[in-house]
Amino acid sequence: MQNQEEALHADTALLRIAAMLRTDKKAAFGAVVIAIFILVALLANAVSPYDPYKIDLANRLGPMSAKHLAGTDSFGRDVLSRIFYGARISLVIGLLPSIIAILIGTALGLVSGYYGGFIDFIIMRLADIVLAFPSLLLALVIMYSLGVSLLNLFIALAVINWGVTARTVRAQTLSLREKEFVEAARACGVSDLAIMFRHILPNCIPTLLVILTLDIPEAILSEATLSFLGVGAEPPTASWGLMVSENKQFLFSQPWVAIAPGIAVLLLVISFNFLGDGLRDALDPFMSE
Amino acid sequence: MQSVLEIKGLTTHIKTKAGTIVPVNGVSLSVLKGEIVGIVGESGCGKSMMAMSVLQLLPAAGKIVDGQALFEGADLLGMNKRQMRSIRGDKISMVFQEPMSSLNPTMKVGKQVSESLILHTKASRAEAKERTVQIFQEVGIPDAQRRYNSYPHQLSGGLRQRVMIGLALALKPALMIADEPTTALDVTIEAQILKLMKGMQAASNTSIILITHNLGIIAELCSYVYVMYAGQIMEQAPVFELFAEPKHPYTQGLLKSLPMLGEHREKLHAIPGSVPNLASLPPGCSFCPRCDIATSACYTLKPGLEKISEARKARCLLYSKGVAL
Amino acid sequence: MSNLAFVKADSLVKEFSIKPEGISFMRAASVQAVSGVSFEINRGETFALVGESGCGKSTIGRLSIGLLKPTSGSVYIDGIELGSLSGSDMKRMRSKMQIIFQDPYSSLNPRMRALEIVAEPLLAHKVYSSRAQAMQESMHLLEMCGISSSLASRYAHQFSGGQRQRIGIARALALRPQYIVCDEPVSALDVSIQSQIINLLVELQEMLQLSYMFISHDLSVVRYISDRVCVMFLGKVCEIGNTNEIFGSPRHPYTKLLLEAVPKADPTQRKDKDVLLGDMPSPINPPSGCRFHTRCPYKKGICSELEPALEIKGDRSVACHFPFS
Repeated sequence: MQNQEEALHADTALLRIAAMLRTDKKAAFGAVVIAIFILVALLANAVSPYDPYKIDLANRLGPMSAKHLAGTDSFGRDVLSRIFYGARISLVIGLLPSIIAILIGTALGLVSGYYGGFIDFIIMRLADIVLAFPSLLLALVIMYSLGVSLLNLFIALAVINWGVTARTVRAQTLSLREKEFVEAARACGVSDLAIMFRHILPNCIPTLLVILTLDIPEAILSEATLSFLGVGAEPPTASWGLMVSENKQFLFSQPWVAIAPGIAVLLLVISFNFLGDGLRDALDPFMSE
Repeated sequence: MQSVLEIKGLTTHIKTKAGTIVPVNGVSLSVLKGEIVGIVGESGCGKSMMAMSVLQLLPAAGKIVDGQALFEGADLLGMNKRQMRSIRGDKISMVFQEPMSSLNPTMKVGKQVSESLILHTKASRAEAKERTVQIFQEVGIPDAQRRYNSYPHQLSGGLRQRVMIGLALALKPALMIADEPTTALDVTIEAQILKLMKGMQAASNTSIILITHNLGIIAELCSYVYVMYAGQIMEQAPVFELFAEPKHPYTQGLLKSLPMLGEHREKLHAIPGSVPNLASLPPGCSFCPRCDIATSACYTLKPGLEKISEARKARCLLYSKGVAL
Repeated sequence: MSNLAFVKADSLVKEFSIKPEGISFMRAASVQAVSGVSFEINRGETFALVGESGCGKSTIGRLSIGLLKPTSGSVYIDGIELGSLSGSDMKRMRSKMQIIFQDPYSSLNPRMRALEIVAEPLLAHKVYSSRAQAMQESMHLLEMCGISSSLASRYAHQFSGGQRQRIGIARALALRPQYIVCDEPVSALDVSIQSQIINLLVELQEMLQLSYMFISHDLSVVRYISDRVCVMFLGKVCEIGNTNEIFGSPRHPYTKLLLEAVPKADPTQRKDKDVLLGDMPSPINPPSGCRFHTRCPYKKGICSELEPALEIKGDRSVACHFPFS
């Protein structure tokens, strides 16, 4: 009996996520799709049927066929292979800057909300500045002033995204700070840093996951947009945004060349949203009855 | 005497993640004209769900699966939405625990009362306003003329509850259902509100169902009491008899566990265990795991609600044979 | 007497500023939540603070353990003034005084297990050299408060309200304090659970020689548990004295009316009682003279002009121009 009880409650975050994936079909779908994309990105050179950069002018704008499953683009390159290689950029661009932005935003939001006063004022005005500019415009400005490169794209995407996190975490900290369990910790002499990391941060995690699942698709889309506008990845790099951009004039005549990478963006973005929803529920202790 | 509301075998199911629970399990009760009936129970005993079922205000996951609620001869449970709306507010009104959430925060409180008068009595605007100010005076809102133009957040909790009671009584309903009407208020304000409700009931012969966890309020106001536990009525009795000689072990335990103002006892009686979880009730008597005098039969037989004297019933194997599982 | 005092509060004043956050052009207004309150709590004694919402009782509780700093006045714990302590001395001092909260839902971190919650103060103060020892002690504390060790790895929300309150008590006891502020520890609990927690608090007090400040609006509970009572109204003391004397023969009109307002769980004691007039006055703009005069049925001319001083007679003090004798 006692062992059963213990087994029942010795749950870890990992076990709960596993249980969630078994029951939540949408989240499971998201996880599978993301896993496939990750595999494809890692093994792009093995799974791609053709070299994504190999130009074959004889086969320009070829339709979908057994040879070229997603057709060929205006240079005769295999679209499917380019999508496989493009997954690398999209995943890295989606994950890295978003995670950096979340880390920066969380740290600043915690400090801002917990201490208040002058520090809070400064951090929030900085966040206001970032939020006041249209994010794409800000990214364009950063890219123009730093120069077009993948690293600078990371920086630009991280800078435009930390403000929302900081504001959200601050708001949550303000309300959590007043909770009696935080007061109890202070009454026990627990240090400020420990209160922030043990009592406040873990209770912000469901919100942070939601932000992350919104930020990742947004970063993927921003990359696509910036590449489309010509300040992201540079040709001939295989990037989904760039592929849509390069082939946009064929949208009505040979639609597959632009639509196929579009579908890849859509699939990845939806998958992150589904998985994020599931994770949030699984990590929320109130939902695990 | 004639009964205003007669509930027979009301059973309500609610779908939850943990499965279907039965917060109201075959509840029967009757309210006579001009009577204050008390329903007492702890959190999760189904007392509020019972009231919500009668008024068809259940949450989306809830469903009435059996029973009747005869109000002036007609079954409320069989009525459609439109019929129900005309009964709610007009003939049956409700007062909730938190008046702030039942008042529209963007609308002046006077307007909220007069609108409902206009809607239900077809009074003119001027008449409705005049009547509202009069009602505000009746429920003891000082400076009623000025308060007519206040928004809910500008009033204290006590004044808001007075507005709610004013709203509830504006149409002179036959029945008022008050669900923990004073739980959010301070003791001295609570005393004011209880006195007000009692006065209103005496003046206009309104029947009241008073739902509360507070046995003190029951003792002061009600004439007949139903004790609920885990969705069922455990005991019902006229108030004097219930407090003088509780028959059900649960009622006995509740009364014994109250610290009394007048005396200083050595150790308080405590009912062991926790308030029951409706998702995992024991098979026999739902109170047996916490009962001092439970026998092995209590775990295997379901006690029925048996008549034990002219006006009393109790659900315990002390008084009934029980039904084998 | 005073050499026995473990806690001593001397003319405590606490003001809260009510200006909006950030930089604004509004002049900062302030509310005096506590206005010159002095009291002593003896070793092993239960000292109750009684009053309605907004009377400042919770603020005093937090001032008395240094969770809030007084605007003026001082608190002495075991003869040491809290205001004079440095950060590290204050941290050491914290182990002598603890607090138990009202809301068993917001007082425990939902992302921590019961065992971790109780171990946290032990780890923060490095009471034990190893984490395993701290966990063992934490387990022991939980069992002392009635939580079986098989449940210790559950998360806080998997417990019922009463069990959560037991965990909160175990956490408060972890550092072996001598003084505990109990801020409405049973008001959020069901009737059948209240007496369990009260009995636990009484047992622990006897076993560990604790001094309690018991903050409550429930006079029956205060009557049962406390040795001395302080009745407060709007940041001021109305009356302090021995519990039996105060409840037996209240001298301040507010104490008397507060006692009468409590609904008694005995229908034979029903009577038409005097209810206290009106609402709680606003603490932002307190009434002149005696703060209670706007609600007092016994007021005379002087009450609105001159604030009555707290008249000390032996163990009994009262602040009223015309106290009952």
